[in-house]
Amino acid sequence: MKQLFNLFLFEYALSSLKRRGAKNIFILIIFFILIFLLSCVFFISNSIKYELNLTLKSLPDIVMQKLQAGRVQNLNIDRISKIANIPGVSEVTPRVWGYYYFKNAGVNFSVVGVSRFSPNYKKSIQKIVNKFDKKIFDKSDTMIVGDGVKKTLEKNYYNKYFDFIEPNGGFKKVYIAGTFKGATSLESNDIILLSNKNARKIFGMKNNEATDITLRVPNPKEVAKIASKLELMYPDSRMITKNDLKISYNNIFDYKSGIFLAMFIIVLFTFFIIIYDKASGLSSDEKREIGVQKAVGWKIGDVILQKFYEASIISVVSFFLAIMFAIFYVYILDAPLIRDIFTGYSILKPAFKLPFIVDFQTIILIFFATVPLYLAATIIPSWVAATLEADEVIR
Amino acid sequence: MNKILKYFVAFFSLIIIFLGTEVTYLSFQNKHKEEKNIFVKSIGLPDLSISTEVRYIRHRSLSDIFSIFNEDPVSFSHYLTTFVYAPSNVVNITPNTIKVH
Amino acid sequence: MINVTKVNKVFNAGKINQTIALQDISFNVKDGNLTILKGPSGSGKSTLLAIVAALLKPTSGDVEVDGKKIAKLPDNFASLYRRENIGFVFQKFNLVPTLSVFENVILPLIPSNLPRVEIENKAKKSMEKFSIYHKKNDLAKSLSGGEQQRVAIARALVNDPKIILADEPTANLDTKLSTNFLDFIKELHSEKKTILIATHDPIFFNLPFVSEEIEVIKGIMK
Repeated sequence: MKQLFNLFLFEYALSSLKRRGAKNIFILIIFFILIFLLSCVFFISNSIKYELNLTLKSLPDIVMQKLQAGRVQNLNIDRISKIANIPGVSEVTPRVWGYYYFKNAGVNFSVVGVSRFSPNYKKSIQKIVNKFDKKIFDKSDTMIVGDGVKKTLEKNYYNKYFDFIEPNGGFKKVYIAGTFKGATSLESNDIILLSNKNARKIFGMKNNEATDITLRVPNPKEVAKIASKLELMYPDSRMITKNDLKISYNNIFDYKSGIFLAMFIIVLFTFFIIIYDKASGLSSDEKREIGVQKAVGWKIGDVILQKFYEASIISVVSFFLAIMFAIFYVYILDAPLIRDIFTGYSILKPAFKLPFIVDFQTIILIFFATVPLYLAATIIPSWVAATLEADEVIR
Repeated sequence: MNKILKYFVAFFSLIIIFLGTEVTYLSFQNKHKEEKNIFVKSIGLPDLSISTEVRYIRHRSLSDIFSIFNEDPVSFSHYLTTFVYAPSNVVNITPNTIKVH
Repeated sequence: MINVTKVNKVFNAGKINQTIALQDISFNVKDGNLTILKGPSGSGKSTLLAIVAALLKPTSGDVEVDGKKIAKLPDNFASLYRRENIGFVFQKFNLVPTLSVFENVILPLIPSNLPRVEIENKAKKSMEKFSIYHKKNDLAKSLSGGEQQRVAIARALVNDPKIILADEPTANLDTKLSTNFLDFIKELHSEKKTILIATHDPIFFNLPFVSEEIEVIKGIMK
């Protein structure tokens, strides 16, 4: 330990940094921007992935859709009894859902039907609904909407109810019974939840039709087997398993961070220029200083240790500073500007409150991608200068 | 300790303390795990409600399978590049390159 | 005891700009003696001092200091040898201009990793001895020539070395300051330090306490 850490040498390194203040502050700032942007992108995409994976287990294990001429079509619900007989399947539910285009605002709502409210269902729904009006809810034509839907409707003067336009031109009046809690905003922002009956009416579907069928398979090892069995039974169907969903999640956000990283290439180049500049040699002042140090009895190792301290101070300080600001920026300020890259253009902006996770893997990755590079670029030329004969000082 | 070392130690510990407070503060925040799971369970649909203008992005894995390919990959709704590079106008024209001799 | 035997130094050997700096130099300096190396500038005095300080390696020949051969010491051992035995006063003082006086003086002590109190005491003692302590926090570049030299001497002596080497110590000083320097040398001599001074300044010639004067002209001893 005594050999490794020399307080006086550390002080000397600090004052040496201070002596070349402007240059070092510039490097510190570039380093800071680099790590800050890198970690912001990783934090956001990791948090979104975390948010998605958090709820992944609550999704149905298999979704079955019917394709006709390559397009998704409604399917007949008489398939259910046959599917329910497959061993390993615990629950089969026909679903009615779709998009409702609200022309006034130019927005798609996601309309989801549920089989009219069983007591069990009511209980769990109550946990996620704000401003729950039980009286309205018990009436038949009611819906629960997301925050974004509520706001859009209010802008268009629909405060208590909404008139859906049916395919045949009629109106369907549905009352708002409550809104989903803000905590679920990233998932619920554009959702309209109403009864199956009303959903069918709005979409113009027949009573024996459903959008798709969801299956629950308690044993995850059986999912693939059952999916292939179903494909044999109904060759016109398309199976989407939970695993497919997971892959699709990862794809889209990896790809978005990729785009961002491509834009960020300028900062990377600046960093590499600094590194190149550092690695390509020392100024004559610095060389002379090393010469003096050697002449008064510093070993090569001492010179390198000093440079190591200097480079570590710069890189470690900017690293921690950047991580600190990145966490503050992403999780407390909710990433203004950068979040738009991930959410994209959207009229119904959800409240973008990301769940906080400390992803040590990412932080360590960022650390090792930047800090050692800089250390090496600083130390190697000093080492070269220190191993030369120290006779420059006597000339 | 000399002056500059004192400043440095103070500055660095300030960063670490702030970082620590931040992390502890954030990790004690409610992540609303339960509510979110109840919600997803009762809706049963995947994906986050961002980019709601395009139906094949919202619940993209469950939407129709080909419309995502209808457009050029550089088109606005799912790619950010259009402000520097516009999609080709050929995209929406059915190509008719077969010539009858 | 410094023993120099048949030292040769050739710069850029085998190249077109080859220069022979030293040729068959042999002499010895006994402990506690003061020796003057004299000769015009460019005669190889500085090179000889650098070889004795193990800053340069001779092309051939041997240098022994206290029975240890230092001519072919590996770099790290050479540094260690300098740190423990040699105090070097350079011609241009070679202070780090942007460091304070105190930092310049403790420069040789920094790698030794001694306790703070010890380093500060040593530095204080050395600075007081050469009456530069009152300027301890000034930057080296803000000092006058005489002050810079006192700092350089304080730095050379902060390790309490046995051997002191000085390369043209009065070249950048006026007569009054040169006389002052002579007083320092006298004092160091009375402390039984071994001193080797390379100079062409006549102020050093024929002094009563000088044990030996060696003349070097164009790399050859007279």
